[in-house]
Amino acid sequence: MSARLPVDVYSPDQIGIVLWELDKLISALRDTNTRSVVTGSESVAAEHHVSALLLGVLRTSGISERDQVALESLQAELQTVRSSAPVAHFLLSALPNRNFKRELVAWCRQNLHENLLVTFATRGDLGGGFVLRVGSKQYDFTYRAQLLNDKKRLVEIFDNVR
Amino acid sequence: MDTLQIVMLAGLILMACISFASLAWASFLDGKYRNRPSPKHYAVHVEGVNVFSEEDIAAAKEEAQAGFRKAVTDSVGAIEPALTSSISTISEKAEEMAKITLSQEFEKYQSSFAALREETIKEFGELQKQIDARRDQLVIDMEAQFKKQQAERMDAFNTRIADVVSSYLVEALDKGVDLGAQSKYIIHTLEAHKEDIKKDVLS
Repeated sequence: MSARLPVDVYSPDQIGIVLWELDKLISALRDTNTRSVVTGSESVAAEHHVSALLLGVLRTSGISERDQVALESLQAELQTVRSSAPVAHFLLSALPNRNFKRELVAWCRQNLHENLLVTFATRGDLGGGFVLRVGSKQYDFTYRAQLLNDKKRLVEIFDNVR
Repeated sequence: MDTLQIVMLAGLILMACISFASLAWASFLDGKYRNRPSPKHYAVHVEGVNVFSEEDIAAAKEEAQAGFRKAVTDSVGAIEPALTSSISTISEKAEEMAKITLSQEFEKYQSSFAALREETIKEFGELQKQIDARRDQLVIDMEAQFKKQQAERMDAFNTRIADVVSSYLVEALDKGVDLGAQSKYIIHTLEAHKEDIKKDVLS
């Protein structure tokens, strides 16, 4: 089984939160199982609050929140993903809304890597466009850089100014 | 005492006798030669004899001088034409040699002058070539430098203009930046550089 991340879970910090919740959930399940062994009665699983993030991961991976073994396996896989999956850092002029984030993450996972992690940051003086950093490589796709890279376009713009 | 000893003693006595006789004979001869008389040296002076008188000697001298003058005069008279012709011949020869030498020297001078001229022309040609090459190189360098400066100025201008445009965008949009309007541009840009980004992601 390989962990599949939903588009809503895209950053290393979010995976950290999911892992923390998973740990709590697994501990609760262990407590319940231990209690049933000690009392000898059929254990009734206590209702445990699961966040939307973890729920999304569980649904995407097709795992029940009461399956302790599968949860432990998922925990190990998520730890592996957090430590080894590639990360793309987007620097934008403003924070994107949820839909745009989903769109970007989906595009990245579809075209670049299935478990690519993404972070978003903002810089007010960027103007327009974005900067993407992957590993040690940085791509400057800001409007300013585009203008500098395409000098003919810059000349055309000035020609059109009357 | 054996025979040998007797013979030796007799020999010694004989030798002593002979030595004594020799000494006596030598002293006799010495006395004999000391009494011999030594030879005498005599000084002999022969007085000279006057054969000619003073007058005869003067007349002979005068006659000898006259004869000598006549012989010299005759000799000069005989030598003068030969000497004159020799002088003219020598002068002609000298003139001829001078002409030959001068013409030879002049030819040498002319050839040297021609060679010098050729060399000068050649050196001037080389100099001209070097000047032309240097001028061409300077023109090329100046053009390259001009182009480089032009490119640098254009880059600086473009950077400045891009900063102006970017600043204008920031000022104009302020907090009203709409990423939704940029979403197409962002996705389109990602699509355009997908392969490069993918390489970096997988590396």
